[in-house]
Amino acid sequence: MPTPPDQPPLIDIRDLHVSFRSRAGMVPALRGVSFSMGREKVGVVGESGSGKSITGKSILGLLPRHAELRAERMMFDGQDLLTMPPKRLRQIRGRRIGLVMQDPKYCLNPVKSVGNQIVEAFRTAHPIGRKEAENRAIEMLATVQINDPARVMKVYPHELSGGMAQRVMMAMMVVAEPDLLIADEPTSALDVTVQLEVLALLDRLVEARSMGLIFISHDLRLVSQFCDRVIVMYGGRIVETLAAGDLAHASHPYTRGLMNCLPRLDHRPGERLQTLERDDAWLTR
Amino acid sequence: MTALTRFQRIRMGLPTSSREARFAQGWRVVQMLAASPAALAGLGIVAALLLLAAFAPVIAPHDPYVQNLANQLRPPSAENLFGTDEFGRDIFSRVIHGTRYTLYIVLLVAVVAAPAGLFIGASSGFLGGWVDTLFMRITDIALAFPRLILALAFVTAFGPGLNNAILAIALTGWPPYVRIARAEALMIRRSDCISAVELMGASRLRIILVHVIPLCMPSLLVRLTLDMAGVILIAAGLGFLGLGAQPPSAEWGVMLASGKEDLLSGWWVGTFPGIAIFLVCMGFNLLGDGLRDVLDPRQES
Amino acid sequence: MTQGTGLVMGILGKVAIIFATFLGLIFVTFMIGRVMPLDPVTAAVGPDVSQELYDRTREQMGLNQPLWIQFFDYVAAVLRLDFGTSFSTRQTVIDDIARVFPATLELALVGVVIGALIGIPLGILAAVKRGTMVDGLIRVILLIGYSAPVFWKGLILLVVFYAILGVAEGPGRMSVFFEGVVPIRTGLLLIDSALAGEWEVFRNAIGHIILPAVSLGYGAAAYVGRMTRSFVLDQLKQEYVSVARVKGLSEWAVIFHHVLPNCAVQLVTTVALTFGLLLEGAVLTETVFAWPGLGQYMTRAMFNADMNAVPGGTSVIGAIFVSLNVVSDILYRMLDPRTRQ
Repeated sequence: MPTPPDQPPLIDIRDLHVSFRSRAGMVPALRGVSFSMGREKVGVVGESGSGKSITGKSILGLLPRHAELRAERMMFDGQDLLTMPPKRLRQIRGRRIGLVMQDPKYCLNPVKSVGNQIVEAFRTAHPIGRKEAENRAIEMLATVQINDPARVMKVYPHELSGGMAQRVMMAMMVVAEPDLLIADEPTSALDVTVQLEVLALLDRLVEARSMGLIFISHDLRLVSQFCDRVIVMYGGRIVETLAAGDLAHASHPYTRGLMNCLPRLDHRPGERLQTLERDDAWLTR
Repeated sequence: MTALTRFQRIRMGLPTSSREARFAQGWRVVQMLAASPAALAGLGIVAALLLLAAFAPVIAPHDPYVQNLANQLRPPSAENLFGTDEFGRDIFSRVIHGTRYTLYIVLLVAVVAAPAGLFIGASSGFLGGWVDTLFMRITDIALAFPRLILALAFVTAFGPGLNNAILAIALTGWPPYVRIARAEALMIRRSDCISAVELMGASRLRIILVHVIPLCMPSLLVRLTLDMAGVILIAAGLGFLGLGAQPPSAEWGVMLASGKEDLLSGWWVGTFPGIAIFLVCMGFNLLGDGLRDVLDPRQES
Repeated sequence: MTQGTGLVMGILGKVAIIFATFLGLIFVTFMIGRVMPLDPVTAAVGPDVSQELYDRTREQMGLNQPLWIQFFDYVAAVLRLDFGTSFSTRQTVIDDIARVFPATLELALVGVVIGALIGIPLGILAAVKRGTMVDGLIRVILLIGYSAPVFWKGLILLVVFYAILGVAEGPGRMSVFFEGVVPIRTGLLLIDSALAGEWEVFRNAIGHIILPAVSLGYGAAAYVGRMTRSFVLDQLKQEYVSVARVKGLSEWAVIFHHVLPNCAVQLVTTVALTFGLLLEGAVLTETVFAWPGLGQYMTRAMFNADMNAVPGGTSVIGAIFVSLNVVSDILYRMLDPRTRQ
């Protein structure tokens, strides 16, 4: 749902540039990205190298040391991320923005129990006693549909299946009641059946808490079904922004090309598959 | 566009023959190495070692063996840059001549231990089966032994002396090379290029010698360079204990033993040879680290 | 094959390898003893004896048996901890070693503690500040530590702190003045003197041990520090570290609560191995400081080509080395939850 007019947008970014220092000079990753969103589900679609993950990382301040960021404006819920002192930034990250990543097994600390990590997430954001935090964590595990949550609290990450691990990640990131959740290819490493379950869960979580969601993926069809709005990125820029329902009427040739390349069940055998025609002009527009 | 000269082709990475390809690869390595000041420092030190060893008689101002008892234990001065020892010998000249011993030791150990380990490891990894298992067990067992102590014990058995010391060090130094060569051999054993050569009828020995071993070279070079630092330290230790090079050799370990005796009367006797050992060791370490970053970033130290 | 059988086979296999390693060690020391230039019979009875006495002694010592029988006897003796009698001290080797080992043990322990206390924090700091001047400086300090010979470090320390500044005690383990004052309970002077409440002796012992321990400790710190830096850098690249930052943890909280627990196992293994390396280094350092330990014993034995003491001492140090490897391996499996069952 779009933001009520009297509230500031959850995310407001204008003209974001990110470059990486390398031996061969500065390599641009984001070239002037601008978008804003409220408490809605926004999908960011693009191929590898389009800059979609970098966008998410920029908001979270997770860029590597050799990255350089500059923007005209980068606001979260009315607060200026660009000028914020690091300590404040850390607090915002912990309390109000969550991140769910692609491979949950690598995202969890292997030598600490699951419960320990969820409790840590909660207690870093809110000053709460240990027992209460543990109860909250168990509640959260139940919410993400994990059976026997009390037992799972003591389990180690390598003992979890892919789907369970992703659910644990979501529990960990949502337990602190953030306003925004950034999901970077959350289902790409999962089996198809598990994908759907996890997505349905994500949907429920986000709706129930009126959270904003940035859903980063390379899967256009998935994003179009799941999100309210779609942002298409190519070569470090946003080439098109439209409502999910309007994808069929996309105007940018890249988006059109992506839509055309999606395989269809009614494809006639012997008919040539569509390929994507790239135009270098899209990089400089 | 004018045709490129061979030199230009190598520099730009556009080889037209396998020999040019090898040169091009070497050039890339040199370029990357040159980008690291630490590696360059290491290379400089090793080069200095080579030069000093080669031209020692010319560079050293005095004869390293001539005794001058009237001049015993003089502190550093213009005449004797590093002072004199208990026999009146010029320490500076002795340190310079010591480079020859160091180089001799390092080269001999490298020439004996590395090819042996390389051949065993490459064959073991390539041939597989019970040969592999046997050699690996032996190597694992050998790797678990303390190197210095074993070298000391070997030298005691062979009798003190520089060449015995080198043999002892080499005998304890081959296992790491076996490991490296075997790892590489295992990786390429199943590769298409090896299969192609096998199909052409190459014997297994030929494959090991001509194809497997050259591919092990980068890792081997790194390990060798880093190992040289350790060899220098062990050899110096042996000389220090009187079990390696013998007095009156101008070997740095032997000189350190004198330094211990003259500790209170002449601090310079032991200090300068020690600095020499330390510098050369550091040089090999720096060079080895640099080479590893360039050639084999996934190798653990 | 059931899982149980597989587990048992795995353990048996490991035990077999450990056994083979010890056997290999004994074999090597046996060969060393047999290859020595000194004639053991002459060493036992003297050079000017009749042929008859010579032959009889030779038979008594079992030296006319074929080599493999000698080896068998040797292994049996070693299992009884019988390494023969030292030619220079005329005591049994095992008694000698028991007498001198505590001194070396104490030195290596203090050395490894110094090494860990200095090396681990430096390694962590270097990793966190990677690429900065701090990292560069620490790496140079560590580089000097493992490029300089340990006995030279000892010499320099003696010259500076004993000869010139006079703040540390000189060679030896304690001043002659205090000999016999402290009852020997553990063999470790620092502990024994503290237990007996003899604080003057304690201070004296510290004054004596500090220089050799620092010589060893610097090298240990260099090795441990380098490894620590490498371990921490490896962990910092992992995804879970980014996730921990997203949770809002400060950089140091991430290091202490997440990175270090993941490095703990490797660090423990490294420290254990470093202890073994220090035992080796002690052989060289004890000569500089006239430290009455196993190193000095071995050095003397080597000079005398003592055919029993040298293999005996080598076996003992070698056995400790191998055991440290095995213990590290076991600790690794026990402490890492990923390999626990």
